[in-house]
Amino acid sequence: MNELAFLTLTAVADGPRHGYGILREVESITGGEARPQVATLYRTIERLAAADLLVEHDSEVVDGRFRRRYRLSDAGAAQLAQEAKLRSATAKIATTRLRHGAPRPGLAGGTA
Amino acid sequence: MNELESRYRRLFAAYPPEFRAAREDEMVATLLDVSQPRQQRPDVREAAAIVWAGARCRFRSADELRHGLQLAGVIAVGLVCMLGVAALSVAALPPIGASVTSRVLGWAAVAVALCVGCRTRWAHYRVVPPVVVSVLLLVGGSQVMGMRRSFLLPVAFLLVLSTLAATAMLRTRVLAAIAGAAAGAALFVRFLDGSHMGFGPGEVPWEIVSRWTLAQPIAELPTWLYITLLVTALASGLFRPRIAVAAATLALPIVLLTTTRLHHLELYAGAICVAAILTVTIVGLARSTMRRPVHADTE
Repeated sequence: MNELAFLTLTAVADGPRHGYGILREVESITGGEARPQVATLYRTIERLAAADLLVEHDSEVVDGRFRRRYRLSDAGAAQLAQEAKLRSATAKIATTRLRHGAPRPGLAGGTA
Repeated sequence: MNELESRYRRLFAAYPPEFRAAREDEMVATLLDVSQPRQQRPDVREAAAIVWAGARCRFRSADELRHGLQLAGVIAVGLVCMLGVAALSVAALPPIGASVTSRVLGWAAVAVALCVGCRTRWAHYRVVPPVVVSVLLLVGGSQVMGMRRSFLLPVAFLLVLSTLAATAMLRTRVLAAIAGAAAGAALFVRFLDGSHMGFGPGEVPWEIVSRWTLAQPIAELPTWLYITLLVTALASGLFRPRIAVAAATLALPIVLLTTTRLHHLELYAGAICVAAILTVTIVGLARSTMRRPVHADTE
């Protein structure tokens, strides 16, 4: 799962959101680091929808603008939970290793 | 509809129609949401993303395109094989090569090489058949025709197609076998016909050689193969986009090869290549490759 897919699923984890809502959420989750283009976001949405991780919740017209809201499917929730677990485990390892200081030469895992 | 909106909508031409119908309104709304209050022109990065995503959407299932090209390539391989073996058999090995048996054997060898080349275990060697036959063709054919551009360019075109086919993994093995067999049969019939015209072992008048090995086969065998491909595809219920791509790719070269005299070919060969590439591109563009829509009720 790529970063944007992970962020998109995270953005709808607590309730349905439309495209713009997802964009704002992604931005706020990452502290403004990630600002995907609209077309890029929709490509991700389409991919996630094709994989049944994301489903259409409802659609309406607000101020003459068409809105479609998306929510997590059960499969999407499971996948997101699994991904979050994996990422947090990796992050924990990274933090632990960094705490031990810079890698010393001659230790296992060193590259040539 | 304000200026910004209509400008964004124009950019959506990059997407296939189905995609536009399903998503354009929604995406335009989002684009307007992220735009600045008095913005008139599309954001450059947003615009680039739209065009890029649209193009990718059109070509996403490039599988059909790839299979079509492979199929076209298989037929091109057949054609190259035919011309090569024919040219070699009469030019390089006149007395032996002129016998029907040796031609059939030669063809069988090429067909076997082609089929073997398609098998996974031997996949590393799958460029060998086109290379071998092109060498045969160049060696044999040039002795008959000389190294003329009118001879080399059509061959180069076929060679490009065949190499394309060979380097990609062939999944259309059955059709490849059918096309190969048809090509072999066509060659066989052609040469049997030739023997009625005094074209037998030991007696090889050069004008007949050039007529029967290059001029005539170039004019008739492509048509033969083309018809075989279409009939096979229709008969086996396989008329899927990949077949259409193959047919479209081959259509123009076939038409030109069958309607122009050999010595005019050099005028057309470049155009044939360009046109073939364009055809493939257009077929790719015409086909929507949108993933299935969000609604779970389709397929």
